[in-house]
Order: sequence, then structure tokens, then C-alpha cells
Amino acid sequence: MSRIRVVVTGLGATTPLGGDVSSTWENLLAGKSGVARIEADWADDLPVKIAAQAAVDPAEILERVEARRLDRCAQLAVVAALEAWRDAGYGLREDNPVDRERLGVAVATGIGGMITLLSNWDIQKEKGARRVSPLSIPMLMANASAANVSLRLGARAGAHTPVSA
Amino acid sequence: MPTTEEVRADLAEIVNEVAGVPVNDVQLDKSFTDDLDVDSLSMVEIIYAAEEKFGVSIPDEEAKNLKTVGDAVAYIERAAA
Repeated sequence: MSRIRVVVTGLGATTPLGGDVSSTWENLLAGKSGVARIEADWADDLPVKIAAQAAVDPAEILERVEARRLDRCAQLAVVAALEAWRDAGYGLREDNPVDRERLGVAVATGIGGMITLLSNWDIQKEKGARRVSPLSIPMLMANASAANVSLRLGARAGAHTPVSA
Repeated sequence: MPTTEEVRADLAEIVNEVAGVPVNDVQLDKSFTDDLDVDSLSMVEIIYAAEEKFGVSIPDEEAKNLKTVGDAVAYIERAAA
């Protein structure tokens, strides 16, 4: 069995401790907790009102029109992936020297675009099938994160979504 | 009774929200696809938002004939009358 050598060339993260790697790491070392009370009103009737929520809303980081076409799940993936890409020293245009045909993406997720799924289910119940967003599938599919990161980076060697425990 | 300009302005807000097109570019003579670069998925969202905003129904057979901003504004004015 041959051993595959892996090199980590960049890091990106958006977490309950911070919107990027350095703030996440700093707060981690400082022993901070990322758990906080859920302020959103949908939590009002829940017995548990605390959660570790992303410290920085990814929709604030991305361009509005792009953010609009991404479930929060994929927004988080794109934000973190872009940080890692830049950390590796690459840009997104002429300063992206990577051969696209040799660039693949793998982004795992436990569920995927759950918010899109739930809200469009509600819309279908309340307003009928016609009002379901035409972007429902591209937004809720579990591989949306990998797919959108691929699109952003121009990756052509495959977009994969491993799910395991 | 809203004026044509008011309908255009409200529609421009919707097009801006959905597709990021600057509101001032959304003029009556502009084609959604050719001039404003609005893709087909965005058009569906714009039609839905217009139905909600103006309280009109825009069935698919009608929607496909709305090529320019002016077409859409004229349809909305007729439907809302």
C-alpha cells in the first residue's frame, strides 16, 4: 500500500469563537466559550435557548447577491474556503495559478442546506408549490458547499461531499 | 393609483434585491436578459416578488412575454387596474 503524502498549504475557519482562523485560535487559547443565548425569536418556545453559533454572520462577508443564492451552510463553507485559499497565497483571478483540471474540492457536511429545505416546505404549505424557490435544490443539496467552493475557485477536478461519523 | 414611474421604481428595487442590478439601470426600454443580464432563475424570483409587491397574478404564459422592464410595468398596471 503506497502512502499518500499530504501538505496543508492554507487554513480557513469561521466558528463560534471567531470569523477567521486567528480570532478563533486566539479565543480558543484564551479559554473563551463560543456558546451563547440564542437571541432569534424562533428560539422563544424552545426548552434549550443556548447554542454555539457562528460568531460572524457569513452573509455579512459575502456579496449580497451571492449570499442570497446560498444557504447559510454553503455561505459558511465559502467564507472559510476563501480564507484558506488566500492563506495558501492564491487569488481568484490572474493570481490563481493552479491548473483547474487538477483542482478538486471536498467539503463535508452533516446535513446541508437545512434552512432552505425547511423554509421552502413552509412556503409550499402556505402559498402553494408554485412559490417554492427555483433555487431550492441548488441551495439545500448537501453538496452545495463543495459545489459553490468549486465555482468560486474554478475547480474542475470534482466536487465531493463526504459524510461519515 | 400608482404612477408608471412609481411602478418602475418599485420593480427596480425588486430587480436590485434579486439580481444586484443598480436601480437606475432598470429603465422601461431595457431588456431583462439582454441589457440587465438577469438570468432565468432570477426572473422567476422577480416575477414572484412582483406578484407579492403589486398584488397581481403573473401566470407563466404571461411572464414569458415580459421581455423588457416596460413590458412588466405595463402588465402590472393593467393587472392592478
